[in-house]
Amino acid sequence: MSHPAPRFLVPLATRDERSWPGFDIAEQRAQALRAAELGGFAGVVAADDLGGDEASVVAYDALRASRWLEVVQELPISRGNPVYAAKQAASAQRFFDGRLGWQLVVDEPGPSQTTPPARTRAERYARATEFLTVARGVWHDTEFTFEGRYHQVVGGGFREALADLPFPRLHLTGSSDEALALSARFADVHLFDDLDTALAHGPALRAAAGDRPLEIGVALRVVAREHRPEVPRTIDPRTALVGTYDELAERLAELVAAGITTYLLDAHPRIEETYRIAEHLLPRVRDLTPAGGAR
Amino acid sequence: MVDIYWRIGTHGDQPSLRQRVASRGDWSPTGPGSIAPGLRDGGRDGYTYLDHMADVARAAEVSGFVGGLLPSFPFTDDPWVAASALVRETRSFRFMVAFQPGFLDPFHAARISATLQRVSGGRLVYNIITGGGGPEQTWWGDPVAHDDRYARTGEFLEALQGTWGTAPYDLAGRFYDVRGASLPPDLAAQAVPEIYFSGSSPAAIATAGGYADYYLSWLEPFDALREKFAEVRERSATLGRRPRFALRVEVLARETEAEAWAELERGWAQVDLAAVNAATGGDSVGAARSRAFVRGPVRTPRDMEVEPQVWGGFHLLRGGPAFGLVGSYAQVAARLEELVEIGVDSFILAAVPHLEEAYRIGSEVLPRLSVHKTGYVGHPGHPTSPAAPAAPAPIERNAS
Repeated sequence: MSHPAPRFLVPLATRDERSWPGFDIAEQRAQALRAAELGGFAGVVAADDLGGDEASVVAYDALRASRWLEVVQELPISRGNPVYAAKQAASAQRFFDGRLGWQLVVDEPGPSQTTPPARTRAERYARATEFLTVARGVWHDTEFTFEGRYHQVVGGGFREALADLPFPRLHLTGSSDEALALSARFADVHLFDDLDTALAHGPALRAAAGDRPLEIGVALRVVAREHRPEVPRTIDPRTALVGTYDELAERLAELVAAGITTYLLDAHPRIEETYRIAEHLLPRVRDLTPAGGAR
Repeated sequence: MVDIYWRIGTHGDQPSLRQRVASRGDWSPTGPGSIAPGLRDGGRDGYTYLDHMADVARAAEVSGFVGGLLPSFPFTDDPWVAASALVRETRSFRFMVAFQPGFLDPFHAARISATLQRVSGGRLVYNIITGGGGPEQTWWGDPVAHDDRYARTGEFLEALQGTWGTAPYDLAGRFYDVRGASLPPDLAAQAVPEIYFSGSSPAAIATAGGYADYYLSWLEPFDALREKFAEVRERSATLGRRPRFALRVEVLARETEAEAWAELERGWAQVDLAAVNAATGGDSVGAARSRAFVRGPVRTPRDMEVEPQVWGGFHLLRGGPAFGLVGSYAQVAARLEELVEIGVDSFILAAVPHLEEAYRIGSEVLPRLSVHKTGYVGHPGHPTSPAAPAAPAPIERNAS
């Protein structure tokens, strides 16, 4: 069974991690972003971190400062209107050559929401279904009307320069039945939190999506070193890839063959480790995955 | 002193008022002469309208404007996206983002705003629009009934300021459900942006009075403005407040008055006079406001000059409001000074084409204003300046 070439993403910092005197966090992000861009990564993720900088501001700045990277913006659907979210995305797709992605934050109580609030998981996923139905509706139609519990639109739809743009590549997460059902219907990429869950649920989820292409991904910490003695021994292998460049490349090639094709790799310190992965790990993975090579 | 802003169009731009063709941006087909995107080797050159917006922002910044208004309508690009992408390409320039409370919940708006304040060194300004109801509102997916709109705006602003701190904030509101919301210390330390509030009806004043730094209006004949300002002052006084006013003014200024009118004459040829006289020319809001003041049949541009230098036909030559000032540099400057005497505390000026006219108005009109405060103040919080201190300085609120 052939799979798409693996895509490697890295997260962007939302909090000050380095305390550079005289420079703020935006400069840390700018340098890490350039490392990912020059290193040939597929993209970066701007997380919705209530203790840090807000994701859309981070994402639009990153898009402006890059040429190739897909920038995945985490979007808390409890706190906004799907028409407006889609409208912002349309401008971003126009300005930045279709490189915006979305990762929805669905299943969290959240400190604030527009009313009516969604208090149970079932309600939150019902709201997510409405959110995506509306966002896609105004994106693709010019006379879109929708009457839902959480969202209502009459005569909506994007026209002229805001029409006919690529919808943001949609990333969804979670392992509940509701989460998997939402992904089967809407997601372009389903990103799991750990390898065991990804391997357990990935094949069934891809089957549930039917003819629609759905990529399975996983978020992992990475500690890659050139020689075995340099590799630390104290890290949980379920949520981290730990080993030598050759070991990790082989492991990744196996995972790609098992159908996991998107990787959100968290490695610290970000700038230096992004360079390391780009120079040492990704080329080895590329050599071992004949499907078209890593990017 | 008054703050003078420029406008950064979010729906393309025309090269002049002579022809109503938006060749800047991609609202017209990209062809020879198009800019951002343009053509190169037979294909699009990879630039986008944002690149032209960046040029306008830089032009306005070096020309002495303190910032630029980014409008928001169903057919335009989005101001938050543009502002977030452009803050780091300017130094002291403020970005005035137009938005409606229905677009975002107040806590999320606070997080976005505080982050933008942090990365820009305090250069975000709000233009809060309550929205008029009707088809445009349902287009936006905003189901709040017309009568509830100002109540929602009030609750939004209350909650936005309430969540802007490190202490958990609760609000069981009619429109928002906030429980234990707060900002991390680095974001809570940022200044809440100044608020330019669109709307000056009694309902608007009752809502906005405690939050608005400026009531923003379009230019109208001066007596109409005097009347409006007097009403707002009176109503605000009963609430114990002293309002400040901002005015959005189109300008067409040339070395001599004759040159300014000659420029309008060149665009006049394309105007459908029958439609103007039937009051249906141009966009409906602009046309309605214009016809409320223009007396008698319209044959020449000067028939729409309702008082010296105040022209009510701009909506016929480009999208947007009807009224603007037409005249020599000295005349336009004198009329702006007069508006300050009436009570204007801040201007948003605009002219087509926005790029070249930013340089012209900046070099020829602003220096003639005794009230002008220069835009570039060497902001100490500029994030890309190596000498910048770690904590950016907030913009001064209610600066006079």
